[in-house]
Amino acid sequence: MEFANLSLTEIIELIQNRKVTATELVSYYISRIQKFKAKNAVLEVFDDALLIAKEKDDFAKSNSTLPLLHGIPVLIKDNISYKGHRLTCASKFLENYVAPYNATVIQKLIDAGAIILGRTNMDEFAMGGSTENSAFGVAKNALDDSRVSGGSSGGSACATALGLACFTLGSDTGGSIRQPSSFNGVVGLKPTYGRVSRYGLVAFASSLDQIGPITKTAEDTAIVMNIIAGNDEKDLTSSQINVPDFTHKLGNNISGLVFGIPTEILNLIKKTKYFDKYQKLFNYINSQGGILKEVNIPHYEMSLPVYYVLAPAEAASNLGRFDGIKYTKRDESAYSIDEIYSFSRTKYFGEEVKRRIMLGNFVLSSGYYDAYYMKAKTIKNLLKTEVTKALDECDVILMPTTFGEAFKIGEKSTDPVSMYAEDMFTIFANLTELPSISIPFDKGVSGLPLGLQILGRHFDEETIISVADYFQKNYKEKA
Amino acid sequence: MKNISDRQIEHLAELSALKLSSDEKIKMKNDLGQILGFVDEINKCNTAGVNYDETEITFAELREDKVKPGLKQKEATANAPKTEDGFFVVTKVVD
Repeated sequence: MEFANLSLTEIIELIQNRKVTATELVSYYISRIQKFKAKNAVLEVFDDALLIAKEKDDFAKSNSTLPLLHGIPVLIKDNISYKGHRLTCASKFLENYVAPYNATVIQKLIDAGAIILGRTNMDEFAMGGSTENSAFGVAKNALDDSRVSGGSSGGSACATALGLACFTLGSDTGGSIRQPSSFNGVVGLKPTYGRVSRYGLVAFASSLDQIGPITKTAEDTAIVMNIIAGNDEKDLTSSQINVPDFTHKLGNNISGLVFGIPTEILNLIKKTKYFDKYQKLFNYINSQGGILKEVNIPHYEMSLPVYYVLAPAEAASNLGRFDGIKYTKRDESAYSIDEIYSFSRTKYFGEEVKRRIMLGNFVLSSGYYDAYYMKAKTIKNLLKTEVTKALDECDVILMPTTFGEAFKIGEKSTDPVSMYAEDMFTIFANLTELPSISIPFDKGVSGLPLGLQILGRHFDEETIISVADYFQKNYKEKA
Repeated sequence: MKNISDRQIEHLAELSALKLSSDEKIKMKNDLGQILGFVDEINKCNTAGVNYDETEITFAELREDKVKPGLKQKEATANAPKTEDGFFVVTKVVD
């Protein structure tokens, strides 16, 4: 039986109706991961997965009702803790690290019956937009070996696209779920900040990080969110706001829904070669009774520079814990405590990580703190105010996920500024803490997918998931 | 492009607990200069009357002050490169 092209929803139905066993699923995905080894999307298949699958099958024999994700194999980004299993953040620094506890999302998946199959490739410590910064080699695009898979959750997005598991988890600090999802033609959600617990996620920029699902369909996104969302006493920033049934609005049409298009975004889209594709989509929305409305986010263009102050500042602090004492690696030539710190960090951090730590320490250092860090924090607040006002006038906001299709491997890796500019459309949702989903909506000049982002009000994932689902089911791209 | 001095790069490397070779210093100077060049755009933004961002997320109430099962000392130190009797081993700190 072939499962690679089936959605999570379809596989759940098969396993719940005893048409397939957990062992068959796990064996299938393991051989498929082997088949696509050259993509370098998966760093490790956990060797206990088949054993757990057998336990699931035994459980199914003696129980008439099964938990929702019973026997469902999941791949996780290599920065999410799964007790007793390796976690490296695709860094030499953590090469032999074994997670001593479960992340809350992992515990929730396990409680729902899922099988954690393995860990996926990423940019080192989630810093990058192409997975070229992985210490273990680049993850290639699912559809084109010469192109990047995107990043930083490049392995997860590629794995979902190739059907190497039923779905995957990623993390998103500035677009790290949505951009690779766009490049690989799959669906990626960055939930509202605080919607999903970050406990057990290795911190990059704590005020921006969120864990989210990468799936084949928007319907699958809703199912995974129903499992992983919710308050967690182990994450002080996780919200106590009520968690809805995220599948609740699926099937709604878009008639009467107000789609906000920020003027500032429209001007950016006009500069890309895909303006006509968006116009086609806008016409379609009109034809379905959706209402298009131009809104304003006057300081939108500030998001990129603001992000590249705040994210490195937080990263510089968070990565201070890697000192050569607590986590697996130490440079043995060190003679003093200071040398343990600096020799170990110099030897085991990659180039991009060092660049961001240096940048973060620059904006936090005496004499620059007010001009950079405080100024950026203030503009972040301004952007939040502006988008809240815009969302008073519309229900959702539309924007591209990226400027275009997945770029070539090596095309941007030598120029950090052009790589950072890739995040132009995605970082806004992180800075404003809004939920945002990326879905494939059309194809570019090379026939590769283009992603559309739908942003919603705080904690209104339900609406954006249902709009995504509607587009996926009804909007036929002309490739 | 923002001009970063050699002294600044050395100071930042020290703050970051990183050692840079002379080639790396030149590259880092150029990279940071370019990045800060575009980051400097934020200075053009008029933020008069705007408050510093105070996250409006309602922080969860603090949990009850009660002992719960956590990591044992052995588990917490299991990933350290060097330990002895459950303690982290470092080089001599005082000469």
